[in-house]
Amino acid sequence: MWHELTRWLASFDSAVIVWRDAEGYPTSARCHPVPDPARQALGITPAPGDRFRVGPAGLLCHSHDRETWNLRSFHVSGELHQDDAGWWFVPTRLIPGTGLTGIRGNIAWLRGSSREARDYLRARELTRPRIDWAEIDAAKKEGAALFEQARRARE
Amino acid sequence: MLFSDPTGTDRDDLPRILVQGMARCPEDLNVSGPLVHDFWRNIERVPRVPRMTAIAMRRLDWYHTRLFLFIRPTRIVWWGADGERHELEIGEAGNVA
Repeated sequence: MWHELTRWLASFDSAVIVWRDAEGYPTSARCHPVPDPARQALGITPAPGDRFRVGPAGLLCHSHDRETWNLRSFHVSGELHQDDAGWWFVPTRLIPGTGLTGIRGNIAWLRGSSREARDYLRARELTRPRIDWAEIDAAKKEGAALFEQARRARE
Repeated sequence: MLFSDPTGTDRDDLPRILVQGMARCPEDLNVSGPLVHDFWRNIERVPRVPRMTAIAMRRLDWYHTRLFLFIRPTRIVWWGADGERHELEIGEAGNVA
């Protein structure tokens, strides 16, 4: 996991760290993790005002272009620790997102998601809902027109 | 919810904004209605999907069946250009305290 994590991490400018604040709410901040192979942990320096806390944490790397294409992402579960040297994120589970695992990864995602949806319905004894394609097509058409309008305004 | 990536805005002076709150996720399968319309309108703003893909999408009914998360904000935190942290508490009725 460590090798894959650091390889993927190196292709992102920054990451988002999520932890629980003193009241138990999830809270997050953008950060620039630095891998430490000896510790098998990522060094993270809090920005002014970031109130890190020791405990369960998550790290998300996510990027896309200005038109929200070329999506790439992955998530890491782990723990935040603190010692004399600073704050450390210790990874425990790497969860691939999109754009990093090639066509095989995409197919695995499609199959896995389809299976999860089927299991969700089965567990609740629900039938597959009928999709209103006309409504979805109309919404997408509306979105495309809005996008074109915004693009023309920028040019 | 953290707003911290200005990609696509053509701005580099935007504050970093964190919204904290209570989330709920009703087990309603959403396939139509105003929320569904808004959802697909907002993510389909970039017309780079070829027609064939739209036809193939018909096979992905599970992808078009959505559960919605609803978040009632309780606190908004933001960091301005000076890096200073600001907080705003929001009351039960959605009022800013």
